[in-house]
Amino acid sequence: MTLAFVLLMALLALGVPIAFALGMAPLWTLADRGIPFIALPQIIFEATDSFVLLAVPLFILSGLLMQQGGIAARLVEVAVAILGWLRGGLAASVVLTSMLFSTISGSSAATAAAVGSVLIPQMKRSNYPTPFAASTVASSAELGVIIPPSVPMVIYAMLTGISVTDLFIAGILPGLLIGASLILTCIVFSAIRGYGEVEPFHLGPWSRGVARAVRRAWAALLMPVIILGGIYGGIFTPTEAAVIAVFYALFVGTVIYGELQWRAVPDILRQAAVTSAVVMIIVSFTAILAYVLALLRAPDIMLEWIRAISDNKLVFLLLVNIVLLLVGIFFEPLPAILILGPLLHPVAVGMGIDPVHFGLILIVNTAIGMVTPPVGANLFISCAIARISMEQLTRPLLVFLAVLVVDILIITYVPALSLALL
Amino acid sequence: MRVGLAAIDGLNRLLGWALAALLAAIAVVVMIQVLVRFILTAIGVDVRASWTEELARYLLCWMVFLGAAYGCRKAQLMALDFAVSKLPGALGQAARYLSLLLCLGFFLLLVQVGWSFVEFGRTESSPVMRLSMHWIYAAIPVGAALMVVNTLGLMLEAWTSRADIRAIGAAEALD
Repeated sequence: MTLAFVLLMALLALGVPIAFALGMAPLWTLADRGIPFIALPQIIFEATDSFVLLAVPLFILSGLLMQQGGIAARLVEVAVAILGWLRGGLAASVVLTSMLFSTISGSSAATAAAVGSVLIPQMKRSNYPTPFAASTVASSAELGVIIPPSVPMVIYAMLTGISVTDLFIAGILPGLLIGASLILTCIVFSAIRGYGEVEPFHLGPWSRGVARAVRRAWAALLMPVIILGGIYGGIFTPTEAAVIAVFYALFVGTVIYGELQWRAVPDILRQAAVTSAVVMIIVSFTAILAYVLALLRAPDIMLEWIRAISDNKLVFLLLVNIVLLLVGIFFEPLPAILILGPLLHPVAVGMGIDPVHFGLILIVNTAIGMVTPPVGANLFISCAIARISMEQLTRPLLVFLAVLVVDILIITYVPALSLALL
Repeated sequence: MRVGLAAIDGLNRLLGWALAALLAAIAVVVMIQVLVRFILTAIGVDVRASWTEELARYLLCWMVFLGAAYGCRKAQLMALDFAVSKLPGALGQAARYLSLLLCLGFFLLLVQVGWSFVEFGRTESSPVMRLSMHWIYAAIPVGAALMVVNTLGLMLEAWTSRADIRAIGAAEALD
């Protein structure tokens, strides 16, 4: 087991794509155990051939269609109409838009790109420092994978055999907690530093403004109702919900808003196919590592190690939190979940932790990893849109990061937050 | 060499269209499944179009392996290139070439064992559509062969344009 892991770390450090490093590292152990390499394509194929996984490309496709079909821009209008008048309101709107967008998109990068490209320039104009604007976008975009639907949740559920629907539902309240805490942070931070502008509040114009924005965005706002309502009500499976999202986004973008051109669709399809393949190929090859780990009884060995440190569930969870935060500094959520998920899930179950709650801890924890410099898709995208360097982003980001760490501790130690709606 | 690179890029344009078509087909097939389940059940016809599920999964396999191969051309696959990008010029480029060579070796292994798996698939057929499984298993060796071609294409581009190989694809990564 040590050999496979040392090889894996060496290959990853050399910059070998994660998918292939996961496939190469266990080869030595396989050969050593006398397992013929014809097992490789068989293992890879079985991991890829999954109906649950079909939700991944479909959610990525629907996210891209919505981004280009004018749905994202209308959600921004709704959030700004509701919160824009407050001190720090525009920053709070970034969080609220990310929450709304997360209910229809399964990834964080899509959320950061869609929300950031509209709101970062607007925040700059309204007297917010650019690094603060960019770090607001980067930190709230992590809601993309926490509020359902979520691509990492689909993959984790597939990997561990828990229900995708359960994991989706478990993400709702923690997502609201994180959203609310980030909105509060924006308001307090802006009030202390005097960021942004304040508009006088009058109920009449405000409600008219909100009503106007909601009227313009109704087709976009209906989307989460259909998708989440359908999944929550047990009407469709996540994969079916994903395909409905695709056709709904296509209909709204082309017919209702008229902003999506039919001739742009093939390119969106190709882009979504490549983005999904790049994600899913990691799933395919992780299966080889998972096979070897199972062969070596790695989860049992891990459980013994951890039991040697402490038998206490809470201590174990704290260790998981710390390890995942460290891992998150260098890893994107998906590879982190794929490598650590199959190893930690049986240990957690062995310690009597609810598997759905544990899955959610893993997802939220690794999502915070997207916000920790120097590696993180949200950070790269936000910096690119705001045209600032990672170093400039880091200081305001630390405030948000501190709040997110408190959130993950609450989510970890209050299981009811994840399990109440199940 | 430039001709070779142009040929590879032509192949990738075709591959791009194939990927778009595969994803479109997946969406349509899964939608048919939803329609059959909701509409036909509503009017009292109890049909399970189980071929839709099988077909969608098989299309997905092809999409994943072809799409990953497409990503190899511009180094779009997720990697921790943090350390290698910080290394000084020659050393960093040498590290990137070493990692590409390791990948090439791995892809060739996959072509070989993938092909034996295809041979094995000739004796199997899918549960619902009775399709010979070698049509589906072929996704792995074909994908791996295209990964070889595209990794060579990446190196060719670095040689012909005399660019730092680590810079290729960095701009596309943010798309």
